[in-house]
Amino acid sequence: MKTLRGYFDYEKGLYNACDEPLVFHCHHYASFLLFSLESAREYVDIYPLMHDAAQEISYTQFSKFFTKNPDLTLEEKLEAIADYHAFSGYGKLEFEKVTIDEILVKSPHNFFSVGWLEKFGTKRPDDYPGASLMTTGFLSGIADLIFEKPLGSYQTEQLTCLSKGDDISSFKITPRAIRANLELTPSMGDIAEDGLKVINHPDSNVNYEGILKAFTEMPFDSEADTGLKNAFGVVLSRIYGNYFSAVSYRFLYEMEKVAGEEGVKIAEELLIEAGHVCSSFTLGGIMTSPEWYAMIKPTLETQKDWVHASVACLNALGFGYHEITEFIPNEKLVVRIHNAYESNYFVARYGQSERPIFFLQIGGLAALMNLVYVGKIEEKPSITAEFYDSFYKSKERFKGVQTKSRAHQDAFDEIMVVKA
Amino acid sequence: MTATGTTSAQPILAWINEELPPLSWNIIAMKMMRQFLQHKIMPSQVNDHTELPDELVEDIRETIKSLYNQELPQY
Repeated sequence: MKTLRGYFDYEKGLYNACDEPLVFHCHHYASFLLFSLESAREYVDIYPLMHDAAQEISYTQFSKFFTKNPDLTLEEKLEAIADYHAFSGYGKLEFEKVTIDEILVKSPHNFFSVGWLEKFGTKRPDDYPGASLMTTGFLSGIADLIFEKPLGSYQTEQLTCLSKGDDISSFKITPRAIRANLELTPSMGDIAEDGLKVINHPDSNVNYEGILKAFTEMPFDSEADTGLKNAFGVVLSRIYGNYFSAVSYRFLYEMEKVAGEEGVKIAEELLIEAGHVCSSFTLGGIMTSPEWYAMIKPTLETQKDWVHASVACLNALGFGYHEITEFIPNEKLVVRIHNAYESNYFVARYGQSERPIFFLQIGGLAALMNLVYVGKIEEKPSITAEFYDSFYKSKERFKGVQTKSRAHQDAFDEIMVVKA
Repeated sequence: MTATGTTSAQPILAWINEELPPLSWNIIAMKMMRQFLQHKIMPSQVNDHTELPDELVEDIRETIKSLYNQELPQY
């Protein structure tokens, strides 16, 4: 079977899967983001927005894969698609019926559905039929390709969803009455730097190079029977970086149209919180894991080292490389990000912006300081919702701000974390 | 509630921040953006000194019930 896989590009700090950047995200991020967007559904058409962003990406990525593998039969293409869906940790897919007028697909385990259930419990009956918006768009892009139609020709409806109490998630793909006007992704985007090399920081014992190598070489294989990745206490996936970027920025533009500056302000804070909750649980899980205690903990002497080590872990997640340029323990952290994936997308797609464009990374870096200095992660707490609430609501907590951005005519991207 | 048909935002904000998950105020504001704007209230600028129209408070109460299945106390 021909399989679509990627590789970690050490000279760019990014994971490349057939010219699409993949980043590690957990179910907390995906679910909180959907919860936030759904709260605006009465005035922003969020479901097509999320569906279409995924359709653009799967179409862009798999069109390259199929071009490189021109002799694949329909059956082999479907195998490769299901295999990739499971490899990425989105869950198993089973194609039940495949005709030009209708495709039926089952997903007995689905990252987005399972993730929602884990985080929020059963979805309310009046919610949209499912939580798997990315899978719906993913399947539509695939249908466009396998039937050799232009991008935007198909649409997918989620029929059932694990998050709604159904036994299985299932989908129906049909031709659209009118083709949607969609666009290819910017692929890896506007990559600013090449030939990068992670080096150890002079103020710390932490082995940045070793941690990068160790984490990028971990297989993070999905479970064979589910196609999900359960690791570090979260459900992980290698998700399309361009997906969450597209969804976030398009949503902000819609909020601006509907509610002006006020809508954007409220939405931006929620996007940052999605990053904060993601890093808190994923990094919190990593920093309390057996792997951390076996490989990293023995090298840590101070709380400052814990921050350095967690930054070293971030470098392996596909977000770009992070370099600490200023650090006052329990007070201030300044991080320069080389090839930040949010910037790569934004600059390629939109160019410049007067507004901040970092959300995931602002929240993520603040979480790191909160875990170390507020959550006392070195005492190995259980990473639960109660733990999260306790340090989030602390008066001592940290917040992040974008201080420089390539989308704001700066030469590089930088985030500062200070007390909130 | 007061005779002027408004309620102080202070105890409402305090209750939301204490009892609901982080950023719940933003979620509520997002859900009710149109109502806030109709009343010319900017949810990002609501603070302890803001007076909220009672009609808006009732909508907040319903939204909390709907999103979090919790009852906002009467203030």
